[in-house]
Amino acid sequence: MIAFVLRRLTLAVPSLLVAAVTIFVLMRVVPGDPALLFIGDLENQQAITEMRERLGLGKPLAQQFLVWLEQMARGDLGSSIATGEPVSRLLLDAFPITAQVVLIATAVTSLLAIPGGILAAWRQNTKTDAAILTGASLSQSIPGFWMALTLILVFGVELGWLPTVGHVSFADSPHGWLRHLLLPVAALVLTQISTLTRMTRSSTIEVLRLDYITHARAKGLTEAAVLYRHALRNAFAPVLTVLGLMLGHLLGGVVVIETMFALPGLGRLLVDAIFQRDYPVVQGCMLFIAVIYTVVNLLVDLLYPLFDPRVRLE
Amino acid sequence: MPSNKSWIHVKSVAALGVLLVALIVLLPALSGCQRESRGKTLRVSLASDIRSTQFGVNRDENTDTVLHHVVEGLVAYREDLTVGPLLAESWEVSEDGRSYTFTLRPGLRFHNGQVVTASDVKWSWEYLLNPRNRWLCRNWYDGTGETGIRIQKIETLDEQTVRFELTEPNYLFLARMAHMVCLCGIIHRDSLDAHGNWIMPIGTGPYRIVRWNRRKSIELERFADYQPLPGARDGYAGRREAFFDRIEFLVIPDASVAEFALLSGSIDIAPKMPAEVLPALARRKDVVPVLQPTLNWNVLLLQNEDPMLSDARMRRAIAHAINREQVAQNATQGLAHANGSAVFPGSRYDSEFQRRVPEYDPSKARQLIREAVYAGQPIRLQVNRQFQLDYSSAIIVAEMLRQIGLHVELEVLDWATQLKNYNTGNYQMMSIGFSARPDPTLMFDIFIGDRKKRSNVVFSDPAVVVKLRRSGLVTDPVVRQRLFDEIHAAADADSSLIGLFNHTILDAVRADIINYSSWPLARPRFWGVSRQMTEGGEQ
Repeated sequence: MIAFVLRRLTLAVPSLLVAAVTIFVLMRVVPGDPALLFIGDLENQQAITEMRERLGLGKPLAQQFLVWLEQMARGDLGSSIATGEPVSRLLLDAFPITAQVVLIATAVTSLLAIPGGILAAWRQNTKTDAAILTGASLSQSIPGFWMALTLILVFGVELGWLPTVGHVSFADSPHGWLRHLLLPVAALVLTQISTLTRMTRSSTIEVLRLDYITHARAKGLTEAAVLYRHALRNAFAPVLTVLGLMLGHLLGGVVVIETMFALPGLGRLLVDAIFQRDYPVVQGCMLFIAVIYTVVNLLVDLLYPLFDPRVRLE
Repeated sequence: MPSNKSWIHVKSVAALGVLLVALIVLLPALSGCQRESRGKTLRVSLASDIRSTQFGVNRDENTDTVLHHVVEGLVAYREDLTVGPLLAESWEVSEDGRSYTFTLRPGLRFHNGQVVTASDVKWSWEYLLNPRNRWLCRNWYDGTGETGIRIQKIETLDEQTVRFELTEPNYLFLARMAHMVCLCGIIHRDSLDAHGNWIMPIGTGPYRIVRWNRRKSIELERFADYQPLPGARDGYAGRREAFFDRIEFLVIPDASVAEFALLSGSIDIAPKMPAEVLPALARRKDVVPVLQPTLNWNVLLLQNEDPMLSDARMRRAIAHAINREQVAQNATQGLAHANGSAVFPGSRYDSEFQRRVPEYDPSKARQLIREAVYAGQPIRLQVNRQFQLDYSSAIIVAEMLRQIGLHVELEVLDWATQLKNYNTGNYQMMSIGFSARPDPTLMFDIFIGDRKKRSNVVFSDPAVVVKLRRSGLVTDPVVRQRLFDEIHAAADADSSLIGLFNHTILDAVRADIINYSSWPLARPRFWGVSRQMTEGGEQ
């Protein structure tokens, strides 16, 4: 397994390099001048020129790229043009907030969607199945921002039960942390639950039709044992793939949820940096997201054999 | 088998039921202290985080708003746009207009308890003017800027008196010094470390910074030893008395989110809300909308170096085709009126001449484009969606121009791209808003100047440029008025800039907040603001 992990990590290097070149070139192709945005409404051409020089924006593109690569090789992601903070610190501040929301939401989604999908498959074409499918379709058809607004209106504005904005760290106040996370997590769960429910349902239906399930029932096993011990293990591989893709996508930043609940996570950091043409931050964020995808996919690959013994890591 | 199925079904339903009950019980329990400790803390939304605590070095409007509560200059703008004292008790201008002598208010203290002296003023200014410290407004005072002010010497006369000597008289010196964008703050030396690196401003303001959670919030605490000026609150000058123990600025980038945060009581004040929310806010009893006309000015720029628009008849045609009052009313939900002049209506330099603009006359516009032999070529109108008023104005203007037969196409860009095009002059037409400049000279200076030096100006008539420079040097209000009227008339005839309207800003405030008001420079101030007393007698 170690050899597999090492091989996968080695293979990830060229992918990350291609990502780095693409990100760098794309940001430079998009019009806009970071120095101009930094100086803002002050008429100071000299300051703009000085800043461009300081940022090295006048140098040839290839030279700028090499400088960035050299910094990266030293483990230095550079500093934000807008605030002067090191990009690594910005990532370390923003990512845990995104990760908290996403990991909790994904766990809750899995806890609800997987049993829900199995139940729907088991009770296929019954009222229970129809109810679960209708709920899933409804959740899939509601845009994330609308879901978030509805939750804010109901639980924040009308009932006044929960705060609608901000984030409190667990260390400062566990109670405040929980209260501030409830609505964003709920919004994310409600927008993600349908995909996982549907995937679990369809893959479980396929497995439930197989002969070995009939054999298990004929042995006199309880339905719970048939479903959870025999059906789920075989039906779980495609669900795990979707879960991995979902996690990788969400950990890269949930911009809508972060914006609606004023959470300073990775998605907002990236979007703000794009609007400000904060090249080092955009480059750092994008590369970090590429690394997240690589790691999450690797973890998913490592988990396959646990659920499906037919899969071997070679 | 049916029994097993029922068993699983019952278990699932029971589990779901327990979850729902737990949620219903948990939520109100969690909400128990939502409004705890609200009384002594004022919570305000901020559209983006502050960029730094270094005023004038790394700043934007939000940064300025926060730091104006922490750091103060010698003088500041009043609400009537005149310059009033702040740290200075008084000042005298020498007969030749070159030297300004400021006397400090007695008993002033920094946040670290040290007394403010004239040498602190000298040290602070020398720190700001030192090129090493990258103060962005250094060019306002070293003779390289557009208004040509140059400080020759700063000297202390005694503990309370400091004198600034200029190389030549300049009316704009105090206007620049009081300017809200480039805070000329007086700070204590301990704001820097032993190596001269910035730590945190130790200022003299009614609040000091106690916590900065980057990208989340910034918290200010009342400065107990603050000595407010007598009288009433007056712009950035006047009485700055802090009633709240703390101010917490929460970073909320989205206006709808800020609106909901206000309605839910998570924040007390949401400054600069879009006009569209006014009807919804007006229906509520727990929120009060505060409206204020400001100097922020929306305009239409016409690139007179463009082959088509270099023809003055085309520009005049466009000026005649636009019903400015209709644009103002429709773009702002009826909150603003047309203003075609860089002089703010109601300012001391407003006059009948400043109100003169080409009348709305579509038939005259059609005649002018016929004379200019316009053959239906497309004209691109650049705009962004980040600033809603730029966008809504552009849509209305484009339609009005289509009515007279111009083939106008909207080109929607992101703000960074539009700003670059504005700065390089790379556009045919552009809908854009300018932030407030308190003096008419500074407002005209946005679009009048030497194009060889600044590619973003649209009017470069040398005679008018000379008049504009002169308006900044002379002190006689009558002479200044005449110059402003002549400059406006010339700019109006050229029609490379078509003034549309001044913004009216909407600040939304919880009903229990008292004495909050805005002012023409549109910068929120939270001194003098308090919360209505509850029955328990707490604020």
